[in-house]
Amino acid sequence: MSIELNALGKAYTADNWVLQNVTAHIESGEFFAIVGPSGCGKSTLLRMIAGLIPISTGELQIDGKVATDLPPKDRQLTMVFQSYALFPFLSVTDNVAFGLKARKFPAKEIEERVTKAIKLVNLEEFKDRRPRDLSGGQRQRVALARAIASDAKVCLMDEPLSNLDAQLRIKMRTELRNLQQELGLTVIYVTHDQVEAMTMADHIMVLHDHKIQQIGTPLDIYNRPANTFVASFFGTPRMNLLPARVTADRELTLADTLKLALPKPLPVADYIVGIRPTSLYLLPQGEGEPNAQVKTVEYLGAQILLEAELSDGTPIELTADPDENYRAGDWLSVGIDGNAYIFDHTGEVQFMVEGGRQHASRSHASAQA
Amino acid sequence: MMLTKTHKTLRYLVLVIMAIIIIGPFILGFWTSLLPTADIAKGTLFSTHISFQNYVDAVQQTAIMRYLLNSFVISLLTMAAQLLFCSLGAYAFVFLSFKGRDFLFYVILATMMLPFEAEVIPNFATVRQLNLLNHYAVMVIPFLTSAFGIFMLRQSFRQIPPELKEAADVEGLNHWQFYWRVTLPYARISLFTLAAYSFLESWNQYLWPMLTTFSDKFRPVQDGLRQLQSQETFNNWGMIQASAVIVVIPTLIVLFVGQHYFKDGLNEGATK
Amino acid sequence: MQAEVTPAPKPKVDQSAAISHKRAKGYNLHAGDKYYAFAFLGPSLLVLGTFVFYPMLRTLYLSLFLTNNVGRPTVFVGLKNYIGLLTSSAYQASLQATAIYVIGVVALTLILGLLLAQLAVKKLAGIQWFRTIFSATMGVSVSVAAIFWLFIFSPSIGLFDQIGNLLHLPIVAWLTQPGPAMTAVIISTVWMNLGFTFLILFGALQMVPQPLYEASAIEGASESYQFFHVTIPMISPTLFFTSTVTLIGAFKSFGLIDLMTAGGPNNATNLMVYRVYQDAFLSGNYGIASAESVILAVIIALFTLLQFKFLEKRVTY
Repeated sequence: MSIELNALGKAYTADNWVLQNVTAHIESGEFFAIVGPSGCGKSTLLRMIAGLIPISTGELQIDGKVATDLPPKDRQLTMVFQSYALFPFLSVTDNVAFGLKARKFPAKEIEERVTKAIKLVNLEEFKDRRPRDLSGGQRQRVALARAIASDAKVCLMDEPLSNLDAQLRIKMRTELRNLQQELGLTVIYVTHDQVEAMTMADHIMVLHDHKIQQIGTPLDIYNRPANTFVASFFGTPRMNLLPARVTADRELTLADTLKLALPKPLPVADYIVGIRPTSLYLLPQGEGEPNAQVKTVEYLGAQILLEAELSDGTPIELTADPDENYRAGDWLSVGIDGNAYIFDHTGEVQFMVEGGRQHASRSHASAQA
Repeated sequence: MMLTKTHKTLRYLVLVIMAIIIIGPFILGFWTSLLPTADIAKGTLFSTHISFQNYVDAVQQTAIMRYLLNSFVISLLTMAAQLLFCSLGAYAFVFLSFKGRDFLFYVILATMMLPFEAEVIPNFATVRQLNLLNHYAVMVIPFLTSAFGIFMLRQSFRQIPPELKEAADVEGLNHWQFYWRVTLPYARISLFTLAAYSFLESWNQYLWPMLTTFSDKFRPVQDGLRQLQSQETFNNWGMIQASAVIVVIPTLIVLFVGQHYFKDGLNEGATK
Repeated sequence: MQAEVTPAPKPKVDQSAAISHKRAKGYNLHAGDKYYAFAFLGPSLLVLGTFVFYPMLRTLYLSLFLTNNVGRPTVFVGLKNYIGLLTSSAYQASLQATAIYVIGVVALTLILGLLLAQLAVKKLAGIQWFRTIFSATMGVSVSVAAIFWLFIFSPSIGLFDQIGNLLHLPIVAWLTQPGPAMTAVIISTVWMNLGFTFLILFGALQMVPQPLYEASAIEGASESYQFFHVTIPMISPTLFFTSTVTLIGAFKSFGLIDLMTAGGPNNATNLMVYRVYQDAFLSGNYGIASAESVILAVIIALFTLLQFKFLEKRVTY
């Protein structure tokens, strides 16, 4: 079942828009993630799709039929909640059967479906327990089983993994993804965790500031961010955003320190240039002209993360080899070694400079020599 | 949830009907308190002879203000005593170790099952022997503490993190200090609830003061109203209603001002 | 002073086990607390002993005797007071009246309280006003309630008779006929109880997590299905608590009866506590009144025990 969001909007009071002009097409069988920081309206959007919150403007289509004003129970979808929304007074079996009983399915069919759903999430041993006697991960599975049992082909998920501990969360990502593909479910998945969205989704919608920032595949979003928000929201460690100005025909100077050669000329204006920490490189210690000073050193295992300040005081993050023994106060010589994204002063992307190894600092020539 | 227009209208209709049923008796009582008794006796409730004369009469001709004062004194004394004795008792059950502690606690718990109403006969004999009849003391002394209060505060004190007691032990606080500086502030919501509960409980006492007080000097409002109602041979409804309104207004004000706290406290008590 | 009650920690204990051990112990209790215990608990024990324990035993004792008119036991009669009571049609009638009253009060208070709470819990413009109104009777004391309702039920000038007149209905002598008098007393009690019951149930409804309703709405439950399969089970502990409190309160009713009907007409509203009062303090039959007190106490104790049992078993969700 495909879902069509057509210029959806939500306002609780006149002109106080929580969401505006949300348009998207969600393919049948697709894993569609809605990502954004808290307060961006992502849960509101999900509840609008579910029918729990009325839609103020625009049109919602489910499976080609207008569903804008349908009550939740007639939208043929299910939902998994952040808090799991399990009924504490019912056993696992009865929780899973709740919707089927409410819809007055024949007892035999209820039993078949419930047994099947519980088996799918590996909870057979626990089927007579109450939710309070289950671990967080098991409760999560009960919520999933309830969604599966209902046989609806669309499943809405509202931060379903955020109450689990880190290890379990990673494990459940894979399980969820496998289950979704096995059952051919269309999943709309709300999360604030960009890693979750990147690892699970077919398509990602980035919401911020009550508006869609970008829709695309995880690769698109990572490699071709539409604006500074998307650029800095995705990827760990975060992308550096440096102020830049045109200093020559095809040259930008970043933070008064780093020079970036451009493939084509830019109008004279202020720009923001985004460079991921992994796209910066360091000359070996003692070489090149120093242009940044280390403030803190974080060991991440395979890499170390350096928080530094460029000579004009702009903070910058970069990664380095853990074998190098950096300490706070050390001076570095930083160069650009990867993609750089040019944004205008409002944050809209202009174009991307493909990264060759171009050391753009003043010491470029001498370093190469 | 989404509500359709008719659904909403229906809901408001039921709300309004229920609201009228609930405040009807208040409004009727207040309205008739403004009417001359002659009009009430004729059944003309839509009279236009509105005045506060009944209130003036009630205050001047009856002891209603004295009854109110008596009730305030009795209820405040009872409340203060229960806060002190119940919190001390509860503290002993949580923070002190002594022989027979659990047994004693169950005994006290068991007394919560015994209604005071079933014990008035020997209690009456006791207060008569102690020469307490017809005095404030007779309405305060039997209620200086309450099993319910001890039970409720014990539940609340048990929520105090053990680390706090440990920290206090390290600091060298003795039990009096820990009771006063940590336990009471920590459990203030429960204390507030108990205060409200014991005040109202005492304010609503009816049977006991009726048995033990014989003069207006000490009679609390509940029995004062009973006195007025039975004394008025000619059914002076206007004045009786005015007296009832005088009695109900202070508690209504307290209720509306304290509603927020009270509701939270009650629910805390109800779910523990 | 022997300070440590907990055993000295053994070396090499698994850390999680050590923590749970400490938690299970809770507070460190000291053996030298006797003096404090005496000071803290003494006053309460003295009061409870004098006005709760002693009278309980004394009532039991008195119930086995005939007494003189100041309440001193004269002739030991064993269980004859009880046998006499339980075989007397007047006492049976009182028990029956109490049962009708209690059942009526508890059922109506709970149903109406739940209706009010359910109405007030949904967000609507101005709902705060309704919430305040619904809780208002909590501020009403028993004699004020009795006076307000006495007027409403009073013959010819009262509200009900006036409305009846207007609609040309037959006049009901509310407080002077057995059936209507019971109805009037029940209505007044329910009205008086509603504020408290509403507040408690409203609080319980507010604590039901919203996602449970959202989930059930998506799963296809209608509003009435939600009410019976989500709301009621979720608040059942509170419902039970409220019903027990209301029930015990109803068994103990005295003031309203005294003011509105004085047990009449024809003993139709002569409830258990009122009979104790009449037999002891009006007729001077302290022995019989004591036996009545014991029966009342046993009934109330049974219901309180039931509540404790339930609350104990119940685990918070």
